[in-house]
Amino acid sequence: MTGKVLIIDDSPLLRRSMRRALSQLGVEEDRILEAGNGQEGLKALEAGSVSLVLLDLNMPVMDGEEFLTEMRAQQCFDNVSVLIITTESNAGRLMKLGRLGITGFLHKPFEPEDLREIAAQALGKAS
Amino acid sequence: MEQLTEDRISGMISSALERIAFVFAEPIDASTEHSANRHASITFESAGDSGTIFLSAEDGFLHELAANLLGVEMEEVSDEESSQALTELANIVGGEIILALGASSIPFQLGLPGVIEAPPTASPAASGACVESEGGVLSVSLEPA
Repeated sequence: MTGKVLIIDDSPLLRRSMRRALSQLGVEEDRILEAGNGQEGLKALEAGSVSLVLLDLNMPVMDGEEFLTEMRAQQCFDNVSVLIITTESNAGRLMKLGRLGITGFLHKPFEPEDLREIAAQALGKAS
Repeated sequence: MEQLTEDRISGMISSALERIAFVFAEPIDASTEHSANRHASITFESAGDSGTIFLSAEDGFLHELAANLLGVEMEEVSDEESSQALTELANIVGGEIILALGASSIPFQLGLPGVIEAPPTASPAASGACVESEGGVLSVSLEPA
């Protein structure tokens, strides 16, 4: 696996929990980045080398949908995979997000093993 | 708004806790006295339904939840981490409740969860449930707007 993984979620606790799951998957600590909202996420993305984004939707400052729209407006991030990790369940909204180009969805509450499995698939595609 | 039964709410909570953090919680009588002193709320809104979900939890419950999420011992969990566990749980419970109210087909907006001093006295229209894990008690109530 190459490239960095960026976790964007306004819950510091959940970011640490996801970091732990990624470490158990074999992603090195220094390859895992964190951001507390979409705006911080864009800055982290622009710093370079991100292969995969784990993206929450419901966040302050800049939510996940805004982040994804901004990100996909920049061609340089076309190869960055995005997994949506969310409590969102509305089919229409999820389809709209799907049209912005995402690798998959993980609905909260999720088991750590579910995250490891979907992240492994996404990282396998990204490497 | 559809009235969710106590059984349904407690079932949702227990299932969510088990999935996200391997916390095993059983339903208890909602009128059971407990010392839940940490509170959070989250609002929801759709074209037809709106309201607020209140969570109240005992410290022991939150320590257990946070410890399991982080993979640490309960004694290592800080006050801040307990609060973060509560707000994230409010987010998750909020998502499950609006799903039960029809969010897969009806657009719902879930607010941002936040810690509060104390929930208001429940109205006659409120519904809710209590569960208890090894760590302690969690109470959830759903207050229509």
